[in-house]
Amino acid sequence: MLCFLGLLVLTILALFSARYQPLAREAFDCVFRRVTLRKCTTGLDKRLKARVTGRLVAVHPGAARFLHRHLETLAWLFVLLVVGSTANLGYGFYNYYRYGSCNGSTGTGFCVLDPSGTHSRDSGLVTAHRGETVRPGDGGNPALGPAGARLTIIEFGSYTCPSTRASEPVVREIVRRHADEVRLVFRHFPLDGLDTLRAGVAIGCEDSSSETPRRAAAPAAAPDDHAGATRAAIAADCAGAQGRFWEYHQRLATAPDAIVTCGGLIELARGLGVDEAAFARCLVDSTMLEHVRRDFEDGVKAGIDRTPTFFIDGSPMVAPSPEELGEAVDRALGGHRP
Amino acid sequence: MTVDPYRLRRDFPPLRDGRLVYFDNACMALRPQAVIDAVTAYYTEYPACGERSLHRLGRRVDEEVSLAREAARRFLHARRVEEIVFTQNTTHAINLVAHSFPFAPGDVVVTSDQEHNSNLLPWQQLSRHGVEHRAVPFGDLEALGAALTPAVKLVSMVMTSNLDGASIDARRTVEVVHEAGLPILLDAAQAAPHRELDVRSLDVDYLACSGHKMLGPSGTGLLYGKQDALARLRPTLVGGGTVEESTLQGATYREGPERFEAGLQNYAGIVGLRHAIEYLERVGREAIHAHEQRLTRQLQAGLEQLPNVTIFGPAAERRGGITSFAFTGIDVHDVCLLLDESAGIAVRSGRHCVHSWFNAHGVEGTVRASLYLYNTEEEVTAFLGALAKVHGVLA
Repeated sequence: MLCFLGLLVLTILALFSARYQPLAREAFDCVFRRVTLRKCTTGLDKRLKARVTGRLVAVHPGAARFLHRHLETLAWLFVLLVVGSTANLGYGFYNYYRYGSCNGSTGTGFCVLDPSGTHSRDSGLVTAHRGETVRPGDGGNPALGPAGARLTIIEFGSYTCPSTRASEPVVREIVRRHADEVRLVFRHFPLDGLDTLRAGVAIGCEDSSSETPRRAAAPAAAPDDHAGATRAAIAADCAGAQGRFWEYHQRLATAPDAIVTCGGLIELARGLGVDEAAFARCLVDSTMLEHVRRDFEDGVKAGIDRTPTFFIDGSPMVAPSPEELGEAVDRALGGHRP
Repeated sequence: MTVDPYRLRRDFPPLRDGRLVYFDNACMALRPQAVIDAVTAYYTEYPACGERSLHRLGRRVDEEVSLAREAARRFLHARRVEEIVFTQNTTHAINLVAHSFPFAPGDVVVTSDQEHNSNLLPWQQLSRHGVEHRAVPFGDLEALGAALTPAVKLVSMVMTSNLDGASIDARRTVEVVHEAGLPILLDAAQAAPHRELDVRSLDVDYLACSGHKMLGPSGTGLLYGKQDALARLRPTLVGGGTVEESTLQGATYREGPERFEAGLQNYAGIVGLRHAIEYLERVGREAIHAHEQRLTRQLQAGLEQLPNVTIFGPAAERRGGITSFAFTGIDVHDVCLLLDESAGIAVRSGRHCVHSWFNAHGVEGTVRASLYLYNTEEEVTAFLGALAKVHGVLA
């Protein structure tokens, strides 16, 4: 195992200096012999062991004795650590490719591949759902597309989620392209929702004249970036109550920055032909909060912990790229793009 | 005359900072500054061909080579400079004899059973030509005498074993071989650097030694051959410098040692070798031998205090500066490596190119400490202290 470690190190060194190439070849020969169940005869393992323990002989013979005797075992442990950390590294790369973060779908730690975290598609939520997942229905939510469409896409999204917002024009284009065949249902999965909704706390628009700062309203355990997501979801439903869900939804999703303050949400409704007073009252209507909570809980039961999650023909897709989403729809429709 | 190692050490650059304990002299000796300067002078002042070029640089090379050959003659107490052939090392010298001696199929060569591969493999190679190799016990003159049948054409013996420092009775060995009317080659690689050698007094026919074991540059060696003994050899490595004249049909080979020195020579090495010889002459080889024996007694007495140690070879009084030992259950290479890494002590471990002896005796290997003129009692003490610690770690 010492030779295996030596091979790792010496191969790297040999890339930069010919001095280490004979040693690297020795290490390779040694490893090859071990792999083919033969004895390593190069003596490289002995030299490495002596190099590691030699300095200790004079100053701490006891430690040298221990190290010399158990270096092979320690090397095994180290190799296992190397293998483990390599696997972990690979998993991190996979996560980065798949979710935009080394830490996967639910991790929120630092990612060396994306220090700023700008590529993360991670919601930051841990929904802690246990048990079997339940395929979600449309929840009676507003739908875009014909009622008898061959395919219903159910999207769980949050207006504070950059990926949800970015997917809006993509989804809309798909629905436009398959106007007679595809129906889109948007269900709320506000990413500040877990604590807000479960605690049943006020959403902050009781005094609609106050401009609640975006971050000040964040529940204690929710990701700060998603504070106000529930409020935005309720606002969309309030617009929907006046028949303007999709228009408002589009505005929320395509605004340069996520709008989550009460004043901002009311402002966004202007020009859509809604009754502003009714809209403002609606924002504090507990019925609306209940609806959003139902969407959220259906999402949790469906196993969702990040947005956007699309259910296409019942199969979930998490934050797909436009191409992936388009291909999935085409596949579900069983044909080619028109 | 006695050796003052503390004064001599100043001449050897690797020893000047006092951090290296060099006990691998049986493999390669260190070089004094005088030798290094001589080699450098060749490359900086007259880096030219010998025996070919008439310009002043070429003439200087010829002069230096002549001085070196004369120094070698003096060193071995040969009668004539024509009896001195420059070689690359002892191995080259023995091979030169092996492949130039007029053997015939059915002939036999006798060696001891404790030979360095350099004095074993060349003879084994001759089996391709129908020549047989036989081995007799090291130092056993009776067995040697009995082995000298009419089929034997040459005896080749190591003078001092590189394995354990034991020496044969060279004078009696030569006498026994000559009584049988046979020539003898002595491998003096471990003898010439450490003891006074007189080839005339020994009456030996051929003698080989290496420059790099006697303070000389790498790639230098000597083959001594009595004039008539050299004349019997048929050069096998031929080319530039070996002939008086050549035509498309044949060549007239030179009479002197140059006919065995094909191609351009290692002039820098030859020049350096001369200075090494002169250095040894100034110190005195008998003084060197006495110094080594004193240190070896100290070394062996210290070794005997360590547990589970086996010391190979004869008592300290009967060996030169080489001591081989091993600890029961401890790998000799581990000892060697840890001595180096923990205390900067250079010794050799393994089979020392005497695989045949180790295989015959079922011994895995030994640690070999070989001393020379610049080693000191303090170094031996440091070695024994470090060895005790290493033994404690490995036992």
